[in-house]
Amino acid sequence: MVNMERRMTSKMSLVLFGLVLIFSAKAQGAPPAGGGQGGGAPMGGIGLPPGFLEQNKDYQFPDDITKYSATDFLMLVRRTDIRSSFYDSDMTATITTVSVSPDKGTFVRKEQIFRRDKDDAFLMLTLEPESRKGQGMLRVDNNMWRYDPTSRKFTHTTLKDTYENSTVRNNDFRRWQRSIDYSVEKITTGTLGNYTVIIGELKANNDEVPFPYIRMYIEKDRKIVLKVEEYSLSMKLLRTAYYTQYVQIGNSFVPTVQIFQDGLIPEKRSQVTYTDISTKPVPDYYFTKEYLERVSQ
Amino acid sequence: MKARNRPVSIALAAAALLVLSAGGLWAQTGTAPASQTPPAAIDENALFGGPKDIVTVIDPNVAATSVVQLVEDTKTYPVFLISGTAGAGLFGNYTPVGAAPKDPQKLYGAVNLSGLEFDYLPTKSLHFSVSTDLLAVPSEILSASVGAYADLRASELVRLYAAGSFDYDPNAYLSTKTYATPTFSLDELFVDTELGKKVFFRLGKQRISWGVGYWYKPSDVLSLSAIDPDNPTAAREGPFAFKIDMPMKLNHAMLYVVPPINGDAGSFSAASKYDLVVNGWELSFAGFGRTDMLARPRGIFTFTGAIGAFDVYGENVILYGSDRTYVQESSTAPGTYETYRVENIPFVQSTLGIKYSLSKSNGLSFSAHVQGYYNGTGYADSSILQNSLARKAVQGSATYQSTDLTQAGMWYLAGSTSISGRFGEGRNLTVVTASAYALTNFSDRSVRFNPQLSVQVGDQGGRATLTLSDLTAIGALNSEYAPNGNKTTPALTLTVFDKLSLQASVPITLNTDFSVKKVQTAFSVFWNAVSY
Repeated sequence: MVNMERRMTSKMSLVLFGLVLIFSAKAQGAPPAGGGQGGGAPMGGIGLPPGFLEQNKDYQFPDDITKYSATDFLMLVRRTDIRSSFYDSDMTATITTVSVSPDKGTFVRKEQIFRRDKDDAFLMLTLEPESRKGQGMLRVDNNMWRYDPTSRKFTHTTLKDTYENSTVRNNDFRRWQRSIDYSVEKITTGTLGNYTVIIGELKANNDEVPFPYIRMYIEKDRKIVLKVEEYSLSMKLLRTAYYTQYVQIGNSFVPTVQIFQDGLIPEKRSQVTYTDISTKPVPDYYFTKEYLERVSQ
Repeated sequence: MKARNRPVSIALAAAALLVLSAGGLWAQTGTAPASQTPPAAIDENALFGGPKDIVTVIDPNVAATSVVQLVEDTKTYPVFLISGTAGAGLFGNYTPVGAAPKDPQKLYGAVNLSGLEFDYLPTKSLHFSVSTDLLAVPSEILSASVGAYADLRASELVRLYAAGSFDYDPNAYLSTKTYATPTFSLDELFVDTELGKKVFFRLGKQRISWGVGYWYKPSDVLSLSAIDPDNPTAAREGPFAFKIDMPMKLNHAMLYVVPPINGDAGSFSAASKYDLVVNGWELSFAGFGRTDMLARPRGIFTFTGAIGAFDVYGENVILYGSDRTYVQESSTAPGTYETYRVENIPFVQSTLGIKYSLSKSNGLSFSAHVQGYYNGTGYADSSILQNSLARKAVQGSATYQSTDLTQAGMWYLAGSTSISGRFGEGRNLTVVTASAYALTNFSDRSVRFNPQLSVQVGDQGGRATLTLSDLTAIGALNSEYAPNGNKTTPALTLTVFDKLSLQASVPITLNTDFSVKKVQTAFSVFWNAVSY
């Protein structure tokens, strides 16, 4: 009698596997338009407001930079947002971050990134230090997965959560969207080295961004961001970012050298340097949890 | 410790430190080309006033067909790396109240290795790594933990991976677990391969982490070891299994088959899971079965996502029968215990967790996390397992599994919270963090909590870090969260300039009426003279 029960439950469990597999196959559905590997629902969209890209295409900016209105500057910020992305191709690069701390010394971190901006997909893999090699993060739209190769555990989080118990939010890994998150308070002009810049003071319109106030310095001719000061609610300068070198690929501009000066500890700064940059198509399977697991240690 | 051994041992310790110092010659962490290092001082005219334009134009066709190296940054092999710290100092034990003859009452010279890791990469696709923590006094090694792995890739997605570890920590100086005797373990040994970049295989002994819970994971049916309540994210032993993965964009299907481990060719288990991503939620549907029915068939549903400002997750499991071997006092022979199983009724296990975090630009941050767990296969009153005769009866059962004595309660609650503030600036920047975690098993009325206060001065506490904590367990002997009865362990750690490290802990064993039964102390002061 007991053996019979066991045979019955054994069959039941096999039926259960079958159901899961059938469900998997059904959910796989048809491949997305344009081919590609695997099936399933298309990845999350780019998540931008309607008309975000189109409205900026033919926008006429004033020839005289002293004539910029708040709307003009917001459209200028929108242009920098749009041109920091690659909507017509994928993008890969290797990023080296050198952090200098007065108390902790110098720390070097190297990561490889893969971007597919049209799907709002982003994969980051740690290359160095070797002790952290294989740790990684995959973000697609509002979903984010972190992988810990030691415990072999994936953690699915949302953009609201903080990144590895730091003050960085997962949302900070999204592409620039300052023209959505901020409104313009004041506009002036000035120079930075050889370059004439339009300076805008912006205030956050939501609490999802890490800095309630920012001041942006945008070069007038090519309309690229050269400097951003980031302030607390009490207008304490928390960080200054300098974008000192760019590469232009088609209509997109990538800040390949970024220097960050800490506002609270004067001796603390870091530099982010891009190299090995490419817009070659990235295979679809790269933007999967499976790839993240396989390339880790 | 014998006096005549002391000079020799101290000399050995000094020699070890010298050797480690020499190792600094091939330490490579913290170095970077000058072109990738931030300037010593920010000069905006220098940054933006050079003769060269700051924009480099790359032909889109070139970028679309090749990789453009913008800076010279080529890694050469072989690579040797070393990281971690090594120090020497004093370590001691003293038992002022309730000392037994076996309790150490000594002060030692000691060597401490902390997170010392060696990496060797003969080529880009081969990586050997050894990491170690060690606390040694002249006459013996008090505790040691060594981990090693080899990652040998034939290609990006095809490889052999092996990892093993050695632990010896009878007094839990280095870890939250006690290793009374030297313990070697093969943690992982598997091969990875794939078919057409569409189906991926992992074959061999491997860690498996199913489930989305933190302290409780009823759906993690394949892991072989229990979750450490004081370190829930620690790696856990997994089975020898064949794993097949099929990614489908963000969705994902997998199948595990665990082959026979007891020589019975008909004895294997299998589990399949499908992850579905919908509107920021990840839903997982899974099933599990084992032919010998020692672990019962079950269906699993888990979810993670956000509701407003809260991250939420949950796991729900329906089993036909319970895996557990239960025990009860014999009705015919009082004072003796008999075991039984329940295999023909359904059981439910369900857990729900909620997380919230808030971070302000003024440095104030707050987080809270709570998880509740209903374990339908547990005892409504699991205090029966506090009886040693009952435990022996379970352990002596033909169907005994180690999980019969863990998470045996029916109702659980766990949580953690943290609040942190930032004060001052420059070298005096101070971050104060108060945090705590707590776990309770309502079914045996045991509780475990650890409040902690941390003060960090300087960048990331680089000038000084003071931490006060008090891990406390309250419950009867052999209860789940107080296996040693009532006990509280106030502890203090002070690190100055990352070089001088002081630690003191005072484990206090309490009687059932909370009067003091025994007071022990363990203290150390180390000069971390070598750091990589």
